[in-house]
Amino acid sequence: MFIKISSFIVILMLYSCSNVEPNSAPNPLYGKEGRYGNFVQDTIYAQADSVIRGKFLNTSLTAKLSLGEFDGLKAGFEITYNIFKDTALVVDSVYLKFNTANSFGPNANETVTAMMYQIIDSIDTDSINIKDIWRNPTEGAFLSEINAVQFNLADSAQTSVKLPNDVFEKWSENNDKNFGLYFSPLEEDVVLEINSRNSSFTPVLFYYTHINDSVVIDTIFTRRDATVFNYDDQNGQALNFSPNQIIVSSGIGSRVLIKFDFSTVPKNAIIFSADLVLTDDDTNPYENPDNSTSFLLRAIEEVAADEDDFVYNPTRTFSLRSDEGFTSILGTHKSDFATTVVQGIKNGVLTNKWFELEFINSIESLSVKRFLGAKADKTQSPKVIIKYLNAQN
Amino acid sequence: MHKTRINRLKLTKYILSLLILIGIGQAGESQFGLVNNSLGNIQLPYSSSGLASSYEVAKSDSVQLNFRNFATWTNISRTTFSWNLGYNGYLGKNKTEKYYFDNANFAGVFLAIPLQPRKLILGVGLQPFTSVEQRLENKSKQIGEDISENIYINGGISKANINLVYKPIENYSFGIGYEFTFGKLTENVLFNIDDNLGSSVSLKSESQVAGNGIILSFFGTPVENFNFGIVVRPTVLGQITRSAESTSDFLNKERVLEMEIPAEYNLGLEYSFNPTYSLGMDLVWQDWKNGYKIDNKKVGNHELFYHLGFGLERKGSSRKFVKYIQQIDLRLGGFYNQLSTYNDLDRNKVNEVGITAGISLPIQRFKSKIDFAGFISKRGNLSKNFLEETIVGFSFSISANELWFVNLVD
Repeated sequence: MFIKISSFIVILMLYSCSNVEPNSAPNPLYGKEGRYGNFVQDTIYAQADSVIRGKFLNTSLTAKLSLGEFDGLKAGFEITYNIFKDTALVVDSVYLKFNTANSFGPNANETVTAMMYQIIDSIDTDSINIKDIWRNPTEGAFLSEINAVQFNLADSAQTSVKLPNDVFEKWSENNDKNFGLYFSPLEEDVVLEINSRNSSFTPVLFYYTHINDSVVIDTIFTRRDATVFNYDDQNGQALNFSPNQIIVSSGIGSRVLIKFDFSTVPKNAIIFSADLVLTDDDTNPYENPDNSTSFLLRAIEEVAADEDDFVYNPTRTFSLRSDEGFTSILGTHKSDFATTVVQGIKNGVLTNKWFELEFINSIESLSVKRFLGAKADKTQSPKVIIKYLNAQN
Repeated sequence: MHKTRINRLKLTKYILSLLILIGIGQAGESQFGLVNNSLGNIQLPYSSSGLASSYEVAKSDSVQLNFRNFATWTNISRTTFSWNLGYNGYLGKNKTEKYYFDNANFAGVFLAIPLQPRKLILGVGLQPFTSVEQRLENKSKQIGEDISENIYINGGISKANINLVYKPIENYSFGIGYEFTFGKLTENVLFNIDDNLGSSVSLKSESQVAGNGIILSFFGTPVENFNFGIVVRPTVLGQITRSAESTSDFLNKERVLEMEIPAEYNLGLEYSFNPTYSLGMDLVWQDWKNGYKIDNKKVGNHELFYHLGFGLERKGSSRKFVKYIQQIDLRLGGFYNQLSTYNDLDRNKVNEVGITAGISLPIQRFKSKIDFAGFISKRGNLSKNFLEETIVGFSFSISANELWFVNLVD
């Protein structure tokens, strides 16, 4: 009897010890709401903002080439073809083929006229768009005017530009003299974007020769192309903004710095969502429809006189998207922004001075986006909407 | 041989049947004890002998160690080691569903060394004090979002003690001891916010308890066949250290708060009608309502805890040459409790009522015995509480007696 009773109890104990999972069907929490605190949504408005103009950057790796002029913003492009032959060629004709990606501006109708130049002096390829010689390139001695040409503005349209035979024949005779071409806009209030060599519809050069009566067509691809951006600071309007506005621009890169004060958020807040919301200024005519909705946000720990010396902490970026008049942080980035940045600031592990906003693509094309700034009406100024558990422990 | 084989088959079937029956259960603890700052359900550790008869404070034994009143240990003549193990099954139901938990438990382990047999005894031991295991869910709407909350709370507090008991004159014994109260309670909560972004908030909070107290015990036989016992544990003074794991460093910081656990009072009586039959009762009370404080403030949501037990014991024959079955002790009892935490949804108290039974089997060869006990109780009432549980428990206590530290010449 002793063995039976003991073994009965021991078996029960051993079995209960072997199954340590708690009840999978939890009890309802009757009347215990708020045991760990309550959820709060808070809005923090921007304290200050500032717009900084970025440096000119190398544009030889962008997927588009820009051509146009709009209220002080100007873009022309350089292109060099890969001519390997080093023997003289006699050609019947030479054409340059371009594919239109996008166009915008009040004067964007069917075509845009540009002046085609031959670059007659060697250029430092790494300096395109960066060095001062590119600020007014048509006034420089390294360009020789060829003739005016027209580009089609319709999306996906092809433009065929005739290149004088002698230009091509000189390049083929002496490849060292092939410094490329430069196109500069002749019309205002219109911007054209062409697919570059870094896209699927790369610019191509066709030249026609013949053998006896047969026409021979050969194709040459680009070796290098890049956009040159400029802005007339004295007379231009595109990058102007009023005190209650802020702007972000690409091509001529401008970034916005915005400052927030999170001291009103409780120390014991467990922050799970944070959204930076900006109100778009829909009076802005300079938005490029192909580059007006995607932005990047970063947290700056230290600013410096040179933007290259800014210290970002954390170094990761957060994406923002414009939709229906507002620009805000994208989807799940809200949670990352909350836990990585805002919680880090409340925990004291991050020192935050400013938040920096810029276009995701700030060098590929011309575009300007205006928002209402810190000095605008509170309901429209930049804000961070924070959601957190005001925790009790 | 054939009979042995049949017995083995029967035993195998018996064990398999048990495994199948209890396969529906999952590990867990009583679902009561949930109020803010609660230390869990109060455990009243009894030996199996005491559990079976529902009283022990005034019960004396020369073989087993008393788990409630250390002053009774002056009846032992040998070094004695006693421990208790058990099994509890909880069949519970709330307003929406039923569930079944089980767990293994122990009511304590003690070692008593007679420095002077039957006069001066030194003892050390470990006993459970509270336990909690709760799994809860809640749904709410806050800040315009549907939020589901899943909570898992578990842990418990134990007591380790050292006692010195002395019998200065025949029939009266006194004990004094030091007791260290310690343990940990953990709460894990996960909030899922239905914002189409998979947002969630996770918080784990931990409370570690450490406290010092003393035990004062008394056992006396003022008149023949009548025993009474008193055990007092004055207020335990200690600390509760709170910390958390969350994304908020401020919340995670450790905080140490002063804590007081209310004094516990035990009173027991036993009357033996004759050498065979005894009747006894226990009363335990602890004022958690006014005596439980954290940071010098009453915690709130707690009630007076009391336990009232009464029972009958039939002692088996102490003569050696009688049938074994006549040597078995039989016990029967009943109890009524008021829990220290109440259902604070509507501030109704939670009560428990139960019946107990058990036997002691002597082990002549070792001059010892093994006690078995079983009980069934009902805790809570759905008509006024958010849960009710039917608890079935089994336990056994074993004592081992050795001639350690005893001067054989004496």
